[in-house]
Amino acid sequence: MSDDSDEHPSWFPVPEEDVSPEPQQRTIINSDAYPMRVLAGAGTGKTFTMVRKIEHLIDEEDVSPDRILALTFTNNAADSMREKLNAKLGAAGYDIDAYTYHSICNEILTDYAYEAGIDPDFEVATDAEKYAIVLDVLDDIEYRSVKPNVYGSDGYASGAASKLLNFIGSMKRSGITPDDIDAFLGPADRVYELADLSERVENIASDHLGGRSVSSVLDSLPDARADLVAERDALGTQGIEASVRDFLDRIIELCDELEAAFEAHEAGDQALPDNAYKLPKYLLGGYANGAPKGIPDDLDLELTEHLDSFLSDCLTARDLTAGYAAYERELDERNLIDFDGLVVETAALMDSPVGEEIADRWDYVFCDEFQDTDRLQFDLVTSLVTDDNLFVVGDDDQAIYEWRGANVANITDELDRAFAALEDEPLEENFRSRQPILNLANEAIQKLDHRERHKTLKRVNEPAYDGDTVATVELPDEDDADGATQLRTVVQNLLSGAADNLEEAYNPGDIALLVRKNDHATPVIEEFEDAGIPYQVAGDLATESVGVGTVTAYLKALARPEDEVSWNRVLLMRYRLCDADLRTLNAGDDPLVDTLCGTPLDEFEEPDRVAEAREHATELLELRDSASLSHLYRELTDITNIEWYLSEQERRDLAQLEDVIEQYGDSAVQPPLTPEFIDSLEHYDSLFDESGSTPTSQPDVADDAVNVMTIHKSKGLDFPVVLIPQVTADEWAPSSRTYDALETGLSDGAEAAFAEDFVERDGRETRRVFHVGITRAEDVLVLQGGIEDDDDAADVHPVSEAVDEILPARIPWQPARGQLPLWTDVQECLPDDAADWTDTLASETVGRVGGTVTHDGDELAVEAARDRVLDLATATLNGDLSPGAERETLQVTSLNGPSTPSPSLSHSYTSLAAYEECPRSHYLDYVVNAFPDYQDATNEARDGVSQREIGLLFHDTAEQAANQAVDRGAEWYEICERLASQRRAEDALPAAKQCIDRYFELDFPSYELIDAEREFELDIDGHELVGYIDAVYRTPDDELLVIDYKATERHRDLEDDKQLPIYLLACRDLYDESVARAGYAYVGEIGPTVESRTFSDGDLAAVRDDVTASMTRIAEFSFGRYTAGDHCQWCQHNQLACAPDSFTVGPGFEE
Amino acid sequence: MSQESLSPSALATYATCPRLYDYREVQDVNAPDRTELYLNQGTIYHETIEDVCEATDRDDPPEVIHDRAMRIFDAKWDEHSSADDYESRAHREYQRAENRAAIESFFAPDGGVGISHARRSIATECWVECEVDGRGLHGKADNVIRTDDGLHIFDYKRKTHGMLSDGTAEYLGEHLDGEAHEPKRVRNAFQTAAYIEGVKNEPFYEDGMEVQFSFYGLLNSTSFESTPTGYDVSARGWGRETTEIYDDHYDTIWALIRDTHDGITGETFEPEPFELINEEACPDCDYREMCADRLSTEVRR
Ligand code: SF4
Repeated sequence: MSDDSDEHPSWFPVPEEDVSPEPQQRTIINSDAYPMRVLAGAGTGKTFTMVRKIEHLIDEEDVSPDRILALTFTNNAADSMREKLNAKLGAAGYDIDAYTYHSICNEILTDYAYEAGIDPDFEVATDAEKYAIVLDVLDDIEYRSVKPNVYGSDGYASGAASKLLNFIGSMKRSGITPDDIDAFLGPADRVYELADLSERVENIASDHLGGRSVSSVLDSLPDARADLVAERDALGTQGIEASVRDFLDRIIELCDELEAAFEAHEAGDQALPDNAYKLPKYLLGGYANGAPKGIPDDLDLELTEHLDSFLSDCLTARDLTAGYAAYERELDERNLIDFDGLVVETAALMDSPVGEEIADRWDYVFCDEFQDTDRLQFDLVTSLVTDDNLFVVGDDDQAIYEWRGANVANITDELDRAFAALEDEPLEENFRSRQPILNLANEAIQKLDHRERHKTLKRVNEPAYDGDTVATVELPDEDDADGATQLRTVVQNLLSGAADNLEEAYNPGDIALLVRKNDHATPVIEEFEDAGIPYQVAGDLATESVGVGTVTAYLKALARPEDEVSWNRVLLMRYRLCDADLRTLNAGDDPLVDTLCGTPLDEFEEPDRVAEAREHATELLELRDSASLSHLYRELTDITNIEWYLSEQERRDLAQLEDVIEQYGDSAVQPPLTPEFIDSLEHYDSLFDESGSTPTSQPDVADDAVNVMTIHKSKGLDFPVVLIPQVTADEWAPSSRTYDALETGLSDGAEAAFAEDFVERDGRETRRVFHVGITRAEDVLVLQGGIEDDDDAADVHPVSEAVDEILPARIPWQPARGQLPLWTDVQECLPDDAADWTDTLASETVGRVGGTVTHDGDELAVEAARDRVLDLATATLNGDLSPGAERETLQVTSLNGPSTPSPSLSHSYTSLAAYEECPRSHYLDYVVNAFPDYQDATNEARDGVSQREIGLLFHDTAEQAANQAVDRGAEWYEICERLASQRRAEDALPAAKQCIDRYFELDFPSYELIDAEREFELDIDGHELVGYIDAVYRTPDDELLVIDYKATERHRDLEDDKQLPIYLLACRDLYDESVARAGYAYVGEIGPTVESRTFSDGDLAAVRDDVTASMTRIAEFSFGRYTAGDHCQWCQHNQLACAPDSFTVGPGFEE
Repeated sequence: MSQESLSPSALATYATCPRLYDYREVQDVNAPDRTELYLNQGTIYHETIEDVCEATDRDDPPEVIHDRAMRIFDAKWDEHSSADDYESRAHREYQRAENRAAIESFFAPDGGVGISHARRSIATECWVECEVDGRGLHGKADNVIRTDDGLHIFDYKRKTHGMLSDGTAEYLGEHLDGEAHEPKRVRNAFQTAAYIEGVKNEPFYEDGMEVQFSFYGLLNSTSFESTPTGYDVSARGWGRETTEIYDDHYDTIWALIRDTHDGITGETFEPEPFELINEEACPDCDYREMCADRLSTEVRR
């Protein structure tokens, strides 16, 4: 961020209120044409438009909010929609029914359980429960072609349990029931009779078509055809037989075309390339070892392979269907419904007589991200629509979940079919990316044949920008090069911003590394690690992270105390036991835990450490069986203070584990820690790899680290800088999927199984994935790729050409199918001003990256300095450091070094107050984000209830109460209880409730609440000051009053106060009327009371000057200056030499 | 014996990584077991072969030996295989079928190698000891067979893939020089040495007897055939003789034994050469989560 501009950087989220719709958007918002479909390109503000349209209905058309149903994919999206409407419409915004496609089903099924014939107390099955059921029904599988191994040499991934889970997933998403499959396949005997049909066709080919010239092959083609016809005619016309029959029909037609072409050749009417006579035998799979000499290898057209893989899927399905049926029975028995089941049940219910009644609950149905809906969801939506009042937005160019069952045609052909009166409105004006990026996106997506609708993205209001926008990086030539160092260098350059090609220096959080597959991220992450570039991998369990490993080991040790490896890990990494003490603990035949608890302390070299470990372990083991997993985890982190031992990166890594822990067990009471939980962590990767990439989950984005995620996960997000690594044909080639022909045959009719080339379909999806990746970028897009030798498809083999001509339309497979020359395409589509960074920003850093550190008169690069610190630390540990020698004293002043580029600063009232108190504490907490000192876990934070926790609880309760327009004490209590249990802060609950009681003794509950937890950013002379205003009320005298709640003991002096004037300054930007009065509402023990006063313009101006002066001074922040005093007792760094000696124990907290 | 006597598998653990030996053998740190089921299966076929050999006379007809083997296998399976080891009955049944097929093929009346193994067996589960250069070795030979020219010792395994062979014997020297990490094949060499030398101390050994040693992979090849009513499993085994490799690489093998042996008795447990070990052994090591040597490199990053 440059500090001389008054404007926000382009990517800064502008508060919605300030945005007025652009013309295209306005047309859509004001239109009353229904049903309407909006095909909206990336970054065109489709959700914004949809929300505004709903607003318009409520505000202008007087539609009651509860008559509107809005559907979207993620809970986040549903929540944010509700919040936006609430912000605009007030409480009415909460009355609109904003749901995810799944949660609406949950809602309907709960309301109509009786009609749906299910127990109203049903629960939604978690992944862990699904897996448990799958394990329980393994014996129901009819093992014939499926091997009964549950796990193999590669773990569970290829075992029967995973197979069944995947099978159920594929089938259920498309609404295919076990009965459907039974009916399609028929008895096992029949499937087995068909199973070698592809081999029989191949035999026909090799028996008849082995001639050595066009004429001899031509002679025998009729015989081959006759055999094929005989095979076909022996087949029935239902289910699997119909599919196979259809395949043979296509092949027979191919024989006819071949015969015609050969005849024409013999008659001299058509030229054929050399070796063309081999084609019939080749196409029908007659050669045992792939393409014979003269037929190009990459032709890839041994057509019997398709039949073969379909039949082998049928064999597998024949075995697994019984397992699927048993799984369904088990779900039912346990009163569970799985995610897909929600939609299945609801769709069925909508088909029943009550369907109409349910649909009548809403007049309007709004759907977001419609391209991601699957077949069932489509049926669901259409059944919910009455009077054609449907509004659908989505982008067929961003349909990237076909592989998970999404049906792209839903947003195109299917809608056309279902709603004859459908109106189309375009949305192509983009507000996100610079035009060169959009040009590339537009061009690249044009390469999609079969693209249904054509959109061209056009940037509006593009701010000026001086720097490269689209940059390419050629992968290095070496065979196995992944080019990770190139990207490391690029990122270093982006962070320093010193290069001329860059307009500014970017923060790590501005940058995203978006990958096609996880493998692409791994080497780059290693480089980031090396270079000390902070990153966050979305949705990754970070099992390789040492810190996470230690925390996990603690959980493992508690779950299975006999697991001594985990104990050793914990003792080593958390308690830092020395080798001798570890040996003492491991010696003897007793279990380690017993030795730990029973050995006299004087037998250890470092008894204190052992004692601490013993105390913690005993306490946690006692807690284990009675506490919920989350509670135990919280206690674990509290008691052991383990986080303190983790690096910043490791703490980030830990977040995902914490999520998993939070979400474990979906029932009201979370189960305690069990070995099963530990096992589920181990299977997490192999079994639910895909669950992270459903359209229903969206990752949290880090603002202080490079975000690393798959493109699938990045959907809906945007970043100033996007890097996409390893764009090559090979690396992006889609992998084939199981069951696709079978699934298609089952859902679209038996004859559809061979109507489409799935590889080509998946190739199209890959292009859309690429499109999504590109359009995430705002300022800078960096594409790294290269061309493999075999992908210059420049010269087409004559045989391929001939095949292309001969193949009849009914053969969906084309020569060189599945080839995806992405990088070649990129080169062709590059805008003129694209830059090649290969030899510049990707090969060397410009300027000094990361600054320098001065030590002992040397100016060291950061890495060298880090090594020196480590060496010194090691020397200290080993006692090799000769005391007194000048050289080894680490000069505190040297810590002043790394300040280029200067970190971007944003101020808040608290940070300013901190600066006033002590510049050093400000520097540590707000500039460099320093670690707090080690804090002994035995202080207040554990025993007493922290004031801070009480304050937070009260504030958040007040905020939620305001959002939900809840104004009774009992309702506040409810919110407060829920929050307390969510964050397991029950300890603070009684005190927080007292605060609530006191609040209700004040006059506020009868005032009108204008705003709560209002975020503001104040720009004062180029400095940014941010914060939140607790509440703004309108008093009975029609005056606006700013209130800050205080749940603490400390009383504030209003005369000298700066916090309130800052809020009042902020109000000038926020409200049209003037606000002059502000005060504190004391709801803590010194309350209840309110103290407020008016501030004159003069008062405000004085504070403004004061604050400006502070902020200007802070521009020269430094570690060097400090002021010691009473406040040191609250400082997180009071173990530094600057603090008075009396504060040697850890800090407490102040609100 | 002048010094501690060690088993080939203990030596092999040290050859994998000295620290691993420290954790597993010296400190005896309990690691959660991962593959109970294959251990039990090993017990089952070992004991089956042992019992068949014990019960078999030189001139028992092949059918009798075969039927005996199948009977014993069934009993051993019931004795040692536990339903708890398997996630499903079907999985257990499949494993049973596979092991049974291996025994079936081993003792096939028409040409199964096991028939002669049983008829000619002179000792099973035979404890052998030896000492060379003051380094003691010991082990238990699965089966010792009387051949026309002497003795042939067999060690029965599930599979012999990836084991010491003519083509890979040269890796032994590279391991010794710290250029390669080949603990599996080193282990095979240790076993070969211990058994060949050890058996010479047994009462049934006579001077001038030729001593051979082979691994035998009972399940070297398995096939799974799917039918409309279920599936069929078959298995086939074969041996891999390492006698000649032992002779050809005698000096290397004994140098390896000396180094390893001295390392253990001298209590040198630093994992060296670390880079090689870190790359080859650490990823699959049961102790990786607690190992200070490995963790310190990670942390340093
Ligand atoms: S983790 Fe590596 S160094 Fe440590 S014991 Fe295992 S193999 Fe040896």
